[in-house]
Amino acid sequence: MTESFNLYWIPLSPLVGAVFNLFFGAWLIRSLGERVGKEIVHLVAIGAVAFSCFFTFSLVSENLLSGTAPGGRVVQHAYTWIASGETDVGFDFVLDHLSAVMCMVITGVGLLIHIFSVGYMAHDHAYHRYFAYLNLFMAAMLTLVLGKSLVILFVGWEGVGLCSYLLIGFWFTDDEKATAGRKAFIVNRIGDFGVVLAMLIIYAVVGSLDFDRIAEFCAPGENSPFVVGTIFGVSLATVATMCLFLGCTGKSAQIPLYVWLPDAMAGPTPVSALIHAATMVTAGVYLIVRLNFLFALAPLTMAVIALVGALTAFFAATIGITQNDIKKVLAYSTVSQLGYMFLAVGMGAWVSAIFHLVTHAFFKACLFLGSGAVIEACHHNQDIQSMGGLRKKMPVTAWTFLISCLAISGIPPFAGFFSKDEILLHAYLNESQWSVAINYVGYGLGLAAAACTAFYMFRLYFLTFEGEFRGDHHTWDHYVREHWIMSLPLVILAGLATVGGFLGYPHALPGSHALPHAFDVWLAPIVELSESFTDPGIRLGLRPVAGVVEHGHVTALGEIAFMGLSVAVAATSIYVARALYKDGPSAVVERWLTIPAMAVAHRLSYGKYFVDEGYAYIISAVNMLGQVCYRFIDSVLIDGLGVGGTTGLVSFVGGGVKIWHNGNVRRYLATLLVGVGILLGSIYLNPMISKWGASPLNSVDAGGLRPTMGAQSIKMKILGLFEFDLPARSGEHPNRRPPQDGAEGNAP
Amino acid sequence: MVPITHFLYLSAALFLIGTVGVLMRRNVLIILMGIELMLNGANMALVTFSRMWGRLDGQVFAMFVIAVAAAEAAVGLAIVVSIFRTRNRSDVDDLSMLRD
Repeated sequence: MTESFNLYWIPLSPLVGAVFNLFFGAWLIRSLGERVGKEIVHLVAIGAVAFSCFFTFSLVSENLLSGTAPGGRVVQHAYTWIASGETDVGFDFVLDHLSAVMCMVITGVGLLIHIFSVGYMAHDHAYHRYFAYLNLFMAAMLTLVLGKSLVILFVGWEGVGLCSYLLIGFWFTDDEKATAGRKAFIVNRIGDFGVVLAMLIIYAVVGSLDFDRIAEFCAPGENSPFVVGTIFGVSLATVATMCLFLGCTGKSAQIPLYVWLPDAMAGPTPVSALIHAATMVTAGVYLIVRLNFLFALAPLTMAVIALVGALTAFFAATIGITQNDIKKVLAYSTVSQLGYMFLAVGMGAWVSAIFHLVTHAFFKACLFLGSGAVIEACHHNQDIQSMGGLRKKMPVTAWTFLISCLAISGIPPFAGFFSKDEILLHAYLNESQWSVAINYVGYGLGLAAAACTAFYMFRLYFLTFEGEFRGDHHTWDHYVREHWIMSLPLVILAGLATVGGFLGYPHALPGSHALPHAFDVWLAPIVELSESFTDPGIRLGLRPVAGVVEHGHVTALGEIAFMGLSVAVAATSIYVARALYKDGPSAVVERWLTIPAMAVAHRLSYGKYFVDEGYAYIISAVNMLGQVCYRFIDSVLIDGLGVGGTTGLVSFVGGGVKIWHNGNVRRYLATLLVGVGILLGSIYLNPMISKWGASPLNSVDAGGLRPTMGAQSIKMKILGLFEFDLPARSGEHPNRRPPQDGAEGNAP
Repeated sequence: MVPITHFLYLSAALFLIGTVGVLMRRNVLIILMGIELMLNGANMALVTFSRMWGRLDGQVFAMFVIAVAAAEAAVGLAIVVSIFRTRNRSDVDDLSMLRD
């Protein structure tokens, strides 16, 4: 039955689109003209994604929603990729409840962003290349989430990294943008190194990288080989998950490897929306949730993840407050929101992380596309200080932007409220290594980040859409407008950002019996194993808090109290932002900045805590090491002594010998004769040989070179110079083997 | 019966005379004659050993050597004639154009 599903068409169809546009796009645009050619290019690209979107949804509804698929999932073996000894890696795809969620988000949001791109990239001369890369990205991302083993996941992981690099540096003639692309690629390389290490460790334990096999090995909990086995006294689970988490910090832009994401905004804005907000950067979260049973075995890693997530959420949010580039604000907000997701997975709240991933994909894609529309309207100006009042000419963009801002700030009933609140709740209540301490730190940082988020999002909103336009009149009169092809995706995404939260409707609120927490139910099979662990230390669950947790469940009152607190914080931040920025840049803020402490804080935040500069020091140290290696080891030792020494020696010897080689035939003959003489002399004047035949060192004679040599004595004197006295062989050579041995011939 | 060493002395003498001729003389024709002598010295040794072991291998080899020597003489003489026509002399010490 599984054979008829053809799951591989989901990633294959965008790949076909990519190949088509890569090979024929330029030719189509050249031969059919700009208008028709571009039409075909984007219809192919959008059609390919629409096909996978449709296919995903139909597969999900036919097999997963109806519950007809065996085991609640669809598995397909596309073909055997590597078969070597006991290793058997196949291109296996699996559509289970987790990858179904991811696929629906990727293809759905991806489709909308493809449509938006038609408007945004309309005047770009590399139209076909853009759509080819975008399709290639979709193929890689879908491979990543559909892969049934870490190997296939890694293929997608590297594929999305490549596409990210290609699209960040899409306008590569601008050196700054090309550099941003390289930075993203190199920073991700550090993380990928961790993933490869983790794969090796897991392979060493399991002997396979298939997720099902890994789950089997994790199933015994405390007795799992991952926990029993240690490396330098640390359990294998901890080491492997730490390495995986390093990869996640790279791909999902967490401390310390988040630095590439803000720079990645150099790419076209729809790319930022698709890759650097909605899909690719969530791959790290997906990876952790996919391997949740392994991470659950490593409480230390979980605590580190939670801590890193909370810190990232907070620090990125504080940087976002002072940025003036519309995309930079959104980039830091993405880093911050990803921090929330990592806080959630670190606390073992897998479902909340995926829930936030989904809602974040909706509202952040909407925000990025909205910013794209704004940037396009403002003639590629991204500085919010010179915007303002755009609501008058761009009402749809403004409304959708406002809805998304409310969603990300956590105002009910928009999507972000439900997911963010759930994460904060679990951050406070879930048990973990260093419990209580990490609960307080995680929750405190999370709440502070929520306050910052609400503030900077509304600062962004008010500076962009409210007040009076602060740019030049020419732009206002001729450029600021909306186009339906860019507004349509915005409206759809804003709609999703509004209602998406009801997929995870909390139990505490009225009506929850009619509208259950869909994500909890849907993802239950995925997290079943890790939540079944009962051993202390790796048990996931709520810690006892008086009045809030009763009988292992959060009380309605407790949950509502948490909600109330976060909504109050967000609302206060929004009010402050409105008061300060309602009419453009605030004079009050300018006055505050004259206070030294505030000025220092502003400078730190505006300078992004000078992390890039700090990394530059590290890199200059590495560069210095490289210079030493280059100048001394490479230039002097290898090139000078090694290569140069060898050639020098050869040419020196050659120069000496050349003198003898003068073209005189008679001299050549004499040399030849002397050579032959030396050769023969060394054989026949050698006492060992003259006595025993061939040298015992030279055992080849045993069966055959000259078996009869020395059988008859020869005595010669030639001109009194040479004297041969070869007695007949008197006995058998001590080293000479009997013939029958020689026939077998192997023993030394 | 003539002992085997006598044949070998003759063979060595022929070979040595040929060698000295090749090395000492500068005229190409004489060198070719020296080579011919060396070949026949070798032939002599082959035939001697063939007789010594009572087997025909050595004589067959000698036949081969004679045939090759005839071919070599024909080609060698042709080359000598050709060289003589172009350069008007046949001194090997002058024929060092292939040096470099």
